[in-house]
Amino acid sequence: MSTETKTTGETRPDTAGYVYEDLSRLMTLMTGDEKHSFSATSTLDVVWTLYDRVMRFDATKSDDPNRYRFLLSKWHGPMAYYAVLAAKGFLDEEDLQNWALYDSNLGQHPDATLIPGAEIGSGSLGHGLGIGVGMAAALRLKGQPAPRVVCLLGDEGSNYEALSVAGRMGLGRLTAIVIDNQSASRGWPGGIAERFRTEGWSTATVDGRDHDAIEAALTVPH
Amino acid sequence: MTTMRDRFTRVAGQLLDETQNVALVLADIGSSQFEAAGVTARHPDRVINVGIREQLMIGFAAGLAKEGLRPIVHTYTPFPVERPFE
Repeated sequence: MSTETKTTGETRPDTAGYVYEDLSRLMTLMTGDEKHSFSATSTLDVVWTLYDRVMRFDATKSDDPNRYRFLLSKWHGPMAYYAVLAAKGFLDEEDLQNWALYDSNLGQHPDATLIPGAEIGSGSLGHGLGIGVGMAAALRLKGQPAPRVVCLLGDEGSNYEALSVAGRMGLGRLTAIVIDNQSASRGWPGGIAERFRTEGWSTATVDGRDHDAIEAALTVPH
Repeated sequence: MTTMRDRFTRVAGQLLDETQNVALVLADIGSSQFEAAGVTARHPDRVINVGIREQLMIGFAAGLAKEGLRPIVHTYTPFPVERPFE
């Protein structure tokens, strides 16, 4: 049995030259996921702004204990995430071209054991925030105040348990970003942010395409 | 006669005493027995009761494990067996 290792992350050329405008070209290197393309696009601006302006990471040391942990709990349409990982040095452009092919490390639902920089894999939605709550609790318990845990999720109902306990535990280093692309039936009377606010979170609602607003919302002291 | 519950409480408490990265994750069930045995008081940060939220309980334990802790999840049989399948 062969052992898969995350070899694509360790020796990176300098990718500091990538800008936001490169991302659509990087995404077109991946093909064939028309079903998920809408949800992929709705995450692109947020994930880019996160990695470009907020996240603390080292692409050559993806297990650095002080790294910010990003949990993509919205795995449908991972092209945006892979494109950003390539732009930030975790992946090669060649990796993107092989996306979803038989031997590729990059799947239609990412495998976190194969992708440098990915904290979790997922398939069923709505699990990432719970894992993020556990990670944030562990970091506090271990006396590691520096890292943040940032979870990107859709508006699936199973996040309720996680968001209520996170509020009760006062996990200030945990951030949840909810993309509301209005795909959930029955909607959210009163709005999504209000659910979090009731449970003790600080909240902000911004235009998901406005990078400055996203950065401000993610870096405001609370 | 020692019941299974008594034995588990004693051994889990001992593990928490002896090993610094062991944690116990509960969803209300069992919380009173660990309080009565003094385990919760000795390790308030490593005995975590999430309330009646078994979905979260499993994800929470996964998050602890990802950060190097060794969580013990305790609840009634169907939950620790079937929730992790997701």
